[in-house]
Amino acid sequence: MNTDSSFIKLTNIGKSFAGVVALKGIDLEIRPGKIYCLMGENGCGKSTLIKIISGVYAPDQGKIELDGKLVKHMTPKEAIKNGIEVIYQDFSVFPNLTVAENISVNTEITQKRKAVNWKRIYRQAQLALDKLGITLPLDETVERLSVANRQLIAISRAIAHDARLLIMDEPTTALTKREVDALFAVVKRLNASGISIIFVSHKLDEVMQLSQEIVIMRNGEKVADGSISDFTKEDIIYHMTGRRLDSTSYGGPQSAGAKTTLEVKHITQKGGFTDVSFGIKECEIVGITGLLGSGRTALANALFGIHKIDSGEILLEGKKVKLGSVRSAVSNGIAYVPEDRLTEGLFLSQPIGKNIAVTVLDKISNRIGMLKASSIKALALQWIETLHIKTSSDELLAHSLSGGNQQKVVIAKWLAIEPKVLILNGPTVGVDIGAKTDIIEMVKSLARQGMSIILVSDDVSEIMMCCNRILLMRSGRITEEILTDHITEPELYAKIRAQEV
Amino acid sequence: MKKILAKNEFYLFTILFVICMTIGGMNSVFFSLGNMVDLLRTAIPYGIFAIGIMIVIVSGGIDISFPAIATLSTYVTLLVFTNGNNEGNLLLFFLISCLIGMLLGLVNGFFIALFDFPPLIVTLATQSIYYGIQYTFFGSKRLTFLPEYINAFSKAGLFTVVDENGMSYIFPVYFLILAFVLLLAFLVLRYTFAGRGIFAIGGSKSSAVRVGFNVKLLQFLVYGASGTIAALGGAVYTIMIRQGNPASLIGLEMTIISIVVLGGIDINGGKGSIFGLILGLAFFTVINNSLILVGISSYWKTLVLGIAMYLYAAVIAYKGKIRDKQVHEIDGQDLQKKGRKC
Repeated sequence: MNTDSSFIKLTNIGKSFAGVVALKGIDLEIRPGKIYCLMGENGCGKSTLIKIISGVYAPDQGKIELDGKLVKHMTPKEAIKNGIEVIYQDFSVFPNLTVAENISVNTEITQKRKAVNWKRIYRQAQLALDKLGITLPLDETVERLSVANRQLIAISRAIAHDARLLIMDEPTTALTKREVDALFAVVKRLNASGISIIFVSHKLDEVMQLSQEIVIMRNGEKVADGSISDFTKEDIIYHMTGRRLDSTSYGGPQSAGAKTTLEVKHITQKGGFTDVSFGIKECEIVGITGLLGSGRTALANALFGIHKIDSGEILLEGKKVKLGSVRSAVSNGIAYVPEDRLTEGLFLSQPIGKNIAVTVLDKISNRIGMLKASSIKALALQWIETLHIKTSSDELLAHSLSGGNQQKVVIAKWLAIEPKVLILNGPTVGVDIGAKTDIIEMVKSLARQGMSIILVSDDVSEIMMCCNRILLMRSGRITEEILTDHITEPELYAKIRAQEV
Repeated sequence: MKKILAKNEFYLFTILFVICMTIGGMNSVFFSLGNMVDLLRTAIPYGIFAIGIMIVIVSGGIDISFPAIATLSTYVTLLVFTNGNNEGNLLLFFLISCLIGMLLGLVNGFFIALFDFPPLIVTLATQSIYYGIQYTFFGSKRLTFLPEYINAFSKAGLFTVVDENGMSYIFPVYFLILAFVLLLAFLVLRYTFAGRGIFAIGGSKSSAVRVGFNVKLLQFLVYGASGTIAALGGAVYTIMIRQGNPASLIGLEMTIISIVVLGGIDINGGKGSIFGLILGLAFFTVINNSLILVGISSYWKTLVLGIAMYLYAAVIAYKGKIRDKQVHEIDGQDLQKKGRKC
């Protein structure tokens, strides 16, 4: 295979929307048979660049060459004809149709078929699955398949007619670790047969594992590119955010006399967790980790009074408390940032300011229960400033924010009650690296000021960076307690994975 | 076997079978050839209407306006032909009627496809408009003096059954129209790419756009087809009752939608088969016409139909729950298999 000549060559591509520059001076070369990773924070221009390559947007300036030939006007049809395929995040599958039809539909359309030959459809579908080296039931309707299998169908569809470049937009978001491994095996197999891949992802570990070349964007410009082996994790984060990440671990309380804020003794919740005991001191960040279903979320929910415990006791600053409801947890100074911020943590259709103020309405309302707009605003502005929430106004609706900034709003509203114990459940899931760094820094500085923080997460690097102590959970029990200084990231990773078998 | 059990059609078939056996067991007249011919004959106009609505529902839409289209298109055609007494011929009667129906249907399609207006609101509006045109410009007078060729066709039979009491049952020639439209709809939905496109749009419109189906054109055509079939149904109905009655189809839309839904066609679009539709039609026809045979007053039939609809909805909902469970199980198995490889 000739890897010297490029398949696609972009030169000095620029694109603006209503005067806002989305891309400027992008040069990019895609060679046959390479796996590229396109990285950058939200809003850096990744999606715009993908849409230009796939013909959805026409660039304002610059030129596009395909196989060395200048393309004047690139359209989606033209792109597909030239073998450029995009796997969208929703996969664009038809849940009501069979696997075979879903896979063959693109080919049938490009061949401008009028009549349906079911034998041909099944043959084409089987051929595509063979190329990927996977088996799926061809006559099953897609709605009966898992997310991972739907994704494989989208990929099969793309390669059913000679694809040369596959663009995958954050393909691993909804997948479990094993499904990700299976997906990567498929991607590598495709790559070995000469298909180029552009892989868009936030997840550094995956990028390092899969790609050969990396392209990093920031604010609409390409800031770095080259072979992945020339980059360390720290380099990539630096290029994406423009900042160096403080990767030192958190030491925990410096004075020996730190008081215990929260202690649980032998607490059990049927179907959730069994005989859990631990304590947390001022200035401590304790990580609770384990696989999905290990009881980590059930434990967090119980500490916030969402579900009651069946036995055992909870002590807050030495006094026994009953956490029967969220209200009682909040009045005892416990705050909880839930796993799914969109459904559990935010009022998306309400302004940012009101979202922040919602936890302290009784504090900022006057004697007869009336709220003053000015005190909501003052509170909102204070937190927007403290947490670097990127927004032009506190009156914008919460859903206008990026994932990372939404998470900051959720955290802000709980910090407003000045909690003694803050429980964070997966605080950086789906958040870009810049915001992740901000959140991790913020968690550490809150702990330094004396707050006790419980961090529930399956993100090993996040746990290592934040916590001074780690509790490992498995089937509802705490199986091990580890001091962060006594373990390395790969060792912790191995411990968690070891539970799977 | 598992596959058969998974289909809505299987359950409907079983229920239908049980009902027929019960009624037949209590009154042997039910299984007599005469009764069968009678049932088939009454099912014809309902069947034709249901095909048009099924196609619309599969595409993810709905059409409330079809009784108005059927009424207006046949009435206008009859007016043209009865004015000068016995003009035209049967073929022309059908052609002009269907042409008007198609145009009225395409008006629906135009607003729904091009402007993305909600189908329910558009067809509610056009229903009102079409009935309005009917009553304002053409009046509500029944037309009873029909051209001779219509009366003749109404009486024409493929064969006639005479029972022991000397009653004769004519199996009408226009049954072939229903059979033809059923076959045509089956072939289009199953073996043309446009037909698969209708299913695709009903399953996921956004995916259909991205994959490259001409979604707007397909939607436009679907409502055109629905209008055409409505007019055909209207024409057949007029022939059957041998008069043009502008009030006779009012309220039929809900009955037809019930038949379609009973036939296992998913009201949310994307799923359904002609076989299911036939079962739904049979179920409706048997309940609607045969309860009297076992001594149940005809006042009961809407109640029985309502209960049947309710039970059916329950079965579908229950199956949905089982399916969700199965999806999780399939995922679980996948995980285990992959685990063994590691």
